[in-house]
Amino acid sequence: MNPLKPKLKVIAHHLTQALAIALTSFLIATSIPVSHMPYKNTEEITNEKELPIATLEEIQEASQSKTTTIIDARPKPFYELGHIPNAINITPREIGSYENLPEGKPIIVYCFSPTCPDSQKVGEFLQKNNENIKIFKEGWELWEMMGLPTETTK
Amino acid sequence: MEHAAKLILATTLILAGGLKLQDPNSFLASLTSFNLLPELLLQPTASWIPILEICTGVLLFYKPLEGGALAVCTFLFLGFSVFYGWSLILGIQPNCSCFGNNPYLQTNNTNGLIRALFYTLLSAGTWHTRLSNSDYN
Repeated sequence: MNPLKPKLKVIAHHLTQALAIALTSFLIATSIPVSHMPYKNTEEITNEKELPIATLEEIQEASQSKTTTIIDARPKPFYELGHIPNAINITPREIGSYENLPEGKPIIVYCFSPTCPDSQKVGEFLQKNNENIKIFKEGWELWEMMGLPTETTK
Repeated sequence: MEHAAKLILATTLILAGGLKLQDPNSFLASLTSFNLLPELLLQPTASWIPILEICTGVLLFYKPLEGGALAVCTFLFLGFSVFYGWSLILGIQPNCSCFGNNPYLQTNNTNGLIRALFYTLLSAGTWHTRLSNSDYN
């Protein structure tokens, strides 16, 4: 008897179980009412109102001149480990209760990378009271990659 | 050894699934940024993966379905490896949100690929051990 046959039988059995697990979890996921899964629809995510983009040169200049407020929208532990000099830390969760933002000053917001949503969230919130908001899309990833100066909090 | 491997896999899956459920929009945004799935499948996949991870993590310790759960683990992590590899090829830097938006668990593409490959090998190895220990008759 081919010794592989029983092993293949067990593999087939496991794959059938895997399919059952996948299907059951899919049914569970789709049976949760949409209102309980706070997903935005994809269109909302991909076509969010685009905020103006700040270049690397712009944020470098802002960091040196202090004429522009730089906001690091990443979670606090990351900010403490290293951030763009003179940036302040405001996450999307805190933005609603943050009261010390200088009025009328241009603002540049950044987070981790081009796809992290936090800078967009903070930017959109601030846009209600300030028209001069820009997003540094490439975020911390590019700043760090370019070996530019950083600041730590601890 | 097999038990420790299952424990690592289950903890990772349950943690990843739980954190994704806490911040579902981040994961949906990540899936969108990978540009690999058609729009129609984005939302169902974003809701399905966290539940699948949690179910698989729990079932790793349910003997009758252990083999199936290990198979799911292997294919799931293999899928993540493909996603990371693909984004490296495309040169995009997606924030994978594999563990929601947890700052301590976010990583770049290369580290993400290494992490996903490690888990793929761990799952495949554990599955292989499980197959070797199976009673074929």
